[in-house]
Amino acid sequence: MKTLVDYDNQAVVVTGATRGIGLETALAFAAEGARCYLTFHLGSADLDEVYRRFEAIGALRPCIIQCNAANEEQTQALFDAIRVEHDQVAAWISNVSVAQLVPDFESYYKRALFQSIESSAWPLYGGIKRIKRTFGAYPKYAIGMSSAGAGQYLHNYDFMSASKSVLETLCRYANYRLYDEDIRINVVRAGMVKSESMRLTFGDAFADKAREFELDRYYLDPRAVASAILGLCSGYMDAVRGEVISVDKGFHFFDTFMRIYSDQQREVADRSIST
Amino acid sequence: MADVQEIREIIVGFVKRTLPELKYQEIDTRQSMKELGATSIDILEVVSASMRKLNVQVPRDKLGQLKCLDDLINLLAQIVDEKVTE
Repeated sequence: MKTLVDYDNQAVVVTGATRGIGLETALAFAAEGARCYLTFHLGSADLDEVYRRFEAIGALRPCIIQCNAANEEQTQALFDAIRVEHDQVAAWISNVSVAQLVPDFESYYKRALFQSIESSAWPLYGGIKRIKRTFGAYPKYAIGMSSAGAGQYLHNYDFMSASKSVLETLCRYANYRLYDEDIRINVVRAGMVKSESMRLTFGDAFADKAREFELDRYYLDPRAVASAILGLCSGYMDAVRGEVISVDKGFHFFDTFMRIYSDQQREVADRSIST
Repeated sequence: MADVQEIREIIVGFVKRTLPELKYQEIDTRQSMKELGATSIDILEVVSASMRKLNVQVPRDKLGQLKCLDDLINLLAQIVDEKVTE
């Protein structure tokens, strides 16, 4: 994609970026010439492989930093490190989410809910404020990552869903508050991507169950989400602000029991035609 | 490099920092963090802080197999030990 915004050697920060959507997003910006700062928390990804992915597309070598995006001290240290090389952050992609999984109502605890919001909703806005304080200017683009859980039931997702709802609501309000500033804040509500996070969140059995109901054919390629994020930050969509954008090929509309029924009916019809 | 006892002290220190109500209590490392009242985010914080302090990384799959604090102590000791012998 040829962006209107010149990302050549511009600082782009992506949290939770050593795998999945975060990594693909960083690669998309790096392909435009950006100098990407990737954060990770636990660091289970093979970092050599991450460097190789950037090298393979001829991008600038990324800077990979261990940083808990919910920790203000660590986030400030991250921006201070970037400040040494750059006088502004062009794009701030707050990708990482951490929330307490909730198997039942007995597991509803205020502290766990607040921690979930702090780790999954606040980093987008806390980061924007810190970038302003550190660099004297807002990032031109700020993107938060939401998911289908903000609008529908997902397994054990109570507190993550609540956190995503906070993220989405504040996106609209923050856009109003910063309307006259040179910043475009949006939230991407991404469809389901097959990943380790999915397995850890929904359990080992989920992938098998998804196959049984042919849900797996609706999984999203993380590169599709990355392209949408780059699109929002490309300069072509600057009038899109304070929005929650679904990036799921429209799946949220037909992610229903009726869709499963329709798919099975179609399969039965296809079988009878072929015999 | 840290030995098992030092790693135990580091982890117990982070547990007490994350769960201040345990500050003046003896921590039984045969217990899980959940039994001590931690949320999954607390556990993540303790593991992450310990990794940063020891300058090591732990595969996420291995973290999922841990049953108690002793398991975490032994896992980190093993990883530190492997790093030294590399």
